[in-house]
Amino acid sequence: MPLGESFDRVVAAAAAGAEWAWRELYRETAPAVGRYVRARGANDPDDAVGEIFCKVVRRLDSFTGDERAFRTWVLAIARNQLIDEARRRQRRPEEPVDHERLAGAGPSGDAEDDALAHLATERVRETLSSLTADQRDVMLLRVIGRLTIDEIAEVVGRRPGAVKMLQARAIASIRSKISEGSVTL
Amino acid sequence: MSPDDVSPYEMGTNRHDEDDELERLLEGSADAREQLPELTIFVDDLQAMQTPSPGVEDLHVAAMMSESSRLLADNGDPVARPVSKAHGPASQASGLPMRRSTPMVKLLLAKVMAPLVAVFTIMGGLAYAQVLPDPLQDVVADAGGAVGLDLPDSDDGDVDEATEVEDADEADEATEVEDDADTTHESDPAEGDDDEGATDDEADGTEGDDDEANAEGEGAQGDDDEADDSTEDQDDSTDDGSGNDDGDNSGPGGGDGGGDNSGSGGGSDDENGGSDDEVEEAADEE
Repeated sequence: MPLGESFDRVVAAAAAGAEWAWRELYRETAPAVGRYVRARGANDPDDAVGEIFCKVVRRLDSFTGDERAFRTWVLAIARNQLIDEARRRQRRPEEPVDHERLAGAGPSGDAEDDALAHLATERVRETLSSLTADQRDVMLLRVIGRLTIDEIAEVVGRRPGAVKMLQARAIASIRSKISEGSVTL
Repeated sequence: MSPDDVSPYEMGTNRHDEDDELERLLEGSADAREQLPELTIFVDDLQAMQTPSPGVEDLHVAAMMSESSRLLADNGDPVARPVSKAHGPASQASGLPMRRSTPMVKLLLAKVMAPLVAVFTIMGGLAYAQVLPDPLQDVVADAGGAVGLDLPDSDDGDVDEATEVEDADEADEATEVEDDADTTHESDPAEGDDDEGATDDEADGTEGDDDEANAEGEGAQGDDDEADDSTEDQDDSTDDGSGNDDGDNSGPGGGDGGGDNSGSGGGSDDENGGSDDEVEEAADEE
């Protein structure tokens, strides 16, 4: 639920170190960040989310804007964090165990929800595998982050027209892949 | 190539329309879901993906609070303080270490000057008491004179001692002369107190001799002016000890013009001569 007019007060309290304010901001943005991180295929999504929000805390002084701008800003930090992680993995190749599979192998609170979430995640990853990295970024930011074309252009550092082109091609690829039945529904 | 040969989304003719349709789909429009069934599946899967686990929320918030506390401490807020500045005020809690309040030069000067002052004080006290060896006494006296202190040197101590010795000799000699005169007078029962000799001289008209004696006595007095005051005190004590004080040394006239026993040796000799004259005159009168 959006913070609305209380957003400025919450950000000011968070800057002063109020725990309740940080919890409000976390609950408002963490679901989108978590989905974005999982869809991008992070090895440890929960750990990545924690790292991202620690960066948010460190850089809060540099933020100015409203609630939508805050959401865009946090997702930009998440994107940069994943890019850095991908570069580190290229320098130091490793084959960690997928946390999603570990979570699925062990018991959890709600088995049905966990199974559905795991299945959805698998389908998304399979669908996104047909997209380029830029197309994946645009579609994930558009669908999960609910960002506009201009906001996505700001995050990925491209012009809005280029972002529209990337989005159109991504949608075409997704429709084609799903209609062909390559993605098991 | 006609529009039918490629996907309408690839031709770029309806990019705005497809973005609007996607927006309606994200808002939950039923029409958009029917028009974009493939995209609907994709969007549903994305929104069904697992969000951060409920259990990790507390961990993440705790990590955020720890980071926030560290940042506030770095900015000087007293949430937490570095150990090195833990005793300082909040405004300096995370500041750089303070510059040394006392310069190193001052500390070195204090360390060097303190022993020097202590040594100079001790040596000055010993020099004032004149218990130092002569060379060291002279050195300390010169150093004290350079800074305005009047410390005695080794010569001052010798002069005093010499004066004391001379005065003691003179006193002894004068005592001996007085004793001789007393003996002479005592031998003559008609003679009164020898202290009254001056009166006798005046009565006998021997004032001329007395004038000479006075003149010589004045000469002796002149010598006395050069003598040390402490020497006079010692002479007085010596005279008192002998019990032969001739009375007021500074008094005018007086038969014993050389009565100033504190004078030089010559004065004592004149006095002795004067005493002999008195004895002779007394004998003549008899």
